[in-house]
Amino acid sequence: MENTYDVSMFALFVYLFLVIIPLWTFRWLHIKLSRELIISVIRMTVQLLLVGVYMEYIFKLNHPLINFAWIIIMLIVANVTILNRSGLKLKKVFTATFPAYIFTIMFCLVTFLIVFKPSVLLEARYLIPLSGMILGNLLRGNIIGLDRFFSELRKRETEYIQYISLGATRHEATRSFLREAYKAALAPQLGSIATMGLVSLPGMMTGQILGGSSPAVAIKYQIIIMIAIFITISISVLLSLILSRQIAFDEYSILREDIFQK
Amino acid sequence: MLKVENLTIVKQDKVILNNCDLKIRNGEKVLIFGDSGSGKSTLLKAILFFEHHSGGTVYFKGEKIDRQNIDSFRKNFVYISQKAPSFEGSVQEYLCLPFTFKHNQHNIPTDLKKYLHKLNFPDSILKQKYDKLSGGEQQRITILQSLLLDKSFFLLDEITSSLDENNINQVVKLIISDPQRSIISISHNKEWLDCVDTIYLMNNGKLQKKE
Repeated sequence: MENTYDVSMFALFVYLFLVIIPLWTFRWLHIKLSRELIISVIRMTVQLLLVGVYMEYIFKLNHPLINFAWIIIMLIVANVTILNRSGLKLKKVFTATFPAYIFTIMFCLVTFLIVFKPSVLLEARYLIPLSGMILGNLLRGNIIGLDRFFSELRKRETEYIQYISLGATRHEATRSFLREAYKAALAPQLGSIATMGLVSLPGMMTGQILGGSSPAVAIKYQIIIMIAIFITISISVLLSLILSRQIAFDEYSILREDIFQK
Repeated sequence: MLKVENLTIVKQDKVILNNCDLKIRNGEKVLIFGDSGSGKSTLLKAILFFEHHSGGTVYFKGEKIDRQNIDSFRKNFVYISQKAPSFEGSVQEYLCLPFTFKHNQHNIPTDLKKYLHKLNFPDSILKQKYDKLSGGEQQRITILQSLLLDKSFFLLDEITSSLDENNINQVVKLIISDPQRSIISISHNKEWLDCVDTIYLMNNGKLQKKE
């Protein structure tokens, strides 16, 4: 692998200090985001430093089992984050959505065998970054999907009751809510596929080009990852909506309050 | 036909419904009024078991309702709320929506236009987008949708509050017209007063019959 030009630690920290520019604009406009910005930047730096350290090890060890263990741990973290952000109780919903995410990731990795040799795919250098990108997007899509589904269902409860009284089953009465949540989860990704390359260079492609790949190769990877992301979101959101809906109602078809945080 | 006994609902230590009794015979029309927040809407939802009962019993045609027969019990009712549902698609598709449900697939309506005329809608409205209609029009279309199903019991929560006077009269007359139909209507609109058989007042979760 060709080496990318390394940035000195000192220069990096000097660059980090540039956040005083937005901090100054916040102050000037009396926007109370300074604290949040500082905390977020510190969190990002610490998290990335940690990731950098353990990625070094994972790449050195380069053992398929360790790689898969890493994916499972990331899936757990993703599931916890998704439920927290969409206001659902971990204790009640974790086991409902987790199978959806395991299945989706495994399915997606299998589809990669169309374009990669198994020996290549199992290498940490390929498997970890590819599944990392997919997981990040799975996270985003599912937060939107679950949040939309359950908040609309709570807000428009009378609509749900109305459908049930018109003879709908629980599934039929929630169908329009499910459809709406699914669309909301897919829409941002659809938009980014259509404008890909027009304005911004996608992050993965930029990284590969900086890393020394030819643009022709980088483009192929970008197309593969975009399709993989879209497949992942479409399968995982649909499954997690269906599986969480399964446990969301009690025997009177009332939406259970105890699956929500507060 | 419908008998509600000692219905009580307590939510987070707050009494929402306090020992409510209600008896409605076949074809009876009932109006409930009272301040907002007094528990009227909760009562309608509770009759259909969409609120957890803290106490009390509901009987329908002499049968006690519990989790075993709840699904078939609910199918006797139409429930309409103050705000029409949102829906993407044409008015025709919206009117036919209940007939996409398995339960209703055998009795698909043949003459939608006949129903439209009952509330003075032109035929052309069938082709229009439902979400482009005004709130009042959506509500009247929703009322027509529920009439297509030919149900015997209507639970109506402020369904005329978004309509103008002319339309209120028309809607009330249309719903009241069937002598077989039992109705519980929550409303502040005076148009209901002359058409109903019985009037109840809801006050702080207490239901009282007005003689």
